[in-house]
Amino acid sequence: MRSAYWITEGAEVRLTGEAVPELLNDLALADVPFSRVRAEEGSRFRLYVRGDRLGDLRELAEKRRVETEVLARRGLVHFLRRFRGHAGLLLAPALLLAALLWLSDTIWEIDVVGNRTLSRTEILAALEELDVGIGHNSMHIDNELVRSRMQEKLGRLSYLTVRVSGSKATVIVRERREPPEMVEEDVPADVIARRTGLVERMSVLEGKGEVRPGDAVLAGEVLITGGLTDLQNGAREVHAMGDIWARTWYQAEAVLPLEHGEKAETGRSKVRWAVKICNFRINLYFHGGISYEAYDKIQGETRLALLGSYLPLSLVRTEYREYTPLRRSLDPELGEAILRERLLRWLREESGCPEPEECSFMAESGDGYLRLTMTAECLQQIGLTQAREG
Amino acid sequence: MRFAKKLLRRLDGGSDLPLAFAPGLPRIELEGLERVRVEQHRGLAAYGPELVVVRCSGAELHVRGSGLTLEAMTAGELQLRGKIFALELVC
Repeated sequence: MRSAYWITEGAEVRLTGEAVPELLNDLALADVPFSRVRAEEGSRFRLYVRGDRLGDLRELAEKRRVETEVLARRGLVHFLRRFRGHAGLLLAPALLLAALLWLSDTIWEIDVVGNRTLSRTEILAALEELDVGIGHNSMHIDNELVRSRMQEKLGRLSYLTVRVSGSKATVIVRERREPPEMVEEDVPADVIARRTGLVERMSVLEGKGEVRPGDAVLAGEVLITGGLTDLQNGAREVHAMGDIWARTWYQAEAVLPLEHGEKAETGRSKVRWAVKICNFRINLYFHGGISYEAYDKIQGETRLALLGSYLPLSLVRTEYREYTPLRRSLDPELGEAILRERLLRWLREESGCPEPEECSFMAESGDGYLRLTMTAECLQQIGLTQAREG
Repeated sequence: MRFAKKLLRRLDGGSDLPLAFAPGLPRIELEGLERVRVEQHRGLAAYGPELVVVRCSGAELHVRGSGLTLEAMTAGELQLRGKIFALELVC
């Protein structure tokens, strides 16, 4: 009964009079629930009675000439009644309780592990499209579905899973490793030309050479064949091997505009602050307009943390820096140097020619652009092993 | 009603019917030395921390002890708690 009083409403009452035992009998007969009757000094007693039966107690006590005094009221119902007319006071704790329940099912921190070539930003942006991210509910993440959708979006993924612990999600990623193209040595193969060129020298380790130094070859042409025929063994296939060095030529063009825009900062800037709660932004300023004609906007967001855990709160700082746009003409020498570097880098990285034997550049300007054309001659290994068909 | 009760008492005395089934007769349970439950009582005659007198059919139950508290009471049942020294049936 005590726990019932805690939930509903109970009152602690002092009874004073000679006829208290008779009053207790009356209460029992009238089915008025009471409990914990304790004797105090003299003819005083205390008991607990249900709050809604207090009126009955008083009425019966009056008949027995017993004085009643309410010492305390207890219970959730009594507590809530105090807020009658002030429901707003209950709103804050109720909202807080609802917020706590909601926050515990929401992701407030997200981490990505296992990525090598895919950036964290790329992965998080793709997950955000699938409603997996900060501020989203963590209860409804279907890992199978997320994995298959992410593999469609980011082809380099071989595996992905999202593990949620409290309000922190960890995205575990495994990227697909593209194995180098290798042909097993026991597999019959030819050596073909990786690119067009003029054969300079060759050494055949296995198979039969189909070209000779001085021959011009086209990309894809068989240089050393793995298909052999002799009188003793008849036709047989081997794994052709050898080095073929050839002269190759490249021509490439790079372009730069002759005039470019430049920003000259004036030194004036404005800073605006905002608070983000979950994904809702609250601006801490009234007039959002910026009076600058031209400006750069630099924005930074700082997540707030407490005792090592991130809160769903962040501070956003936005700086507007004024500049004056200027038109500048490109210095021709500088422009040529930039384009030359670009072309040589391309030659090294994309074409596999680390050091060209000869290289020439031709620059020309027109239509508002500077063009640089590179012609390069390389001596490089052009053999590529390819498995024989059939 | 009185006749029926007398008849039942006679039957109880001469048969194997347990007393618990007899209507109107009090049932007194002592749990350890700290709790007494009385069923089918007729109300309190006196109540104090050292003496509680419970009216029953044909007798009074005197409960002596210290720190006696009436834990709960309804028309048919009451429960006392405290250090119980003696239980006395006074007919």
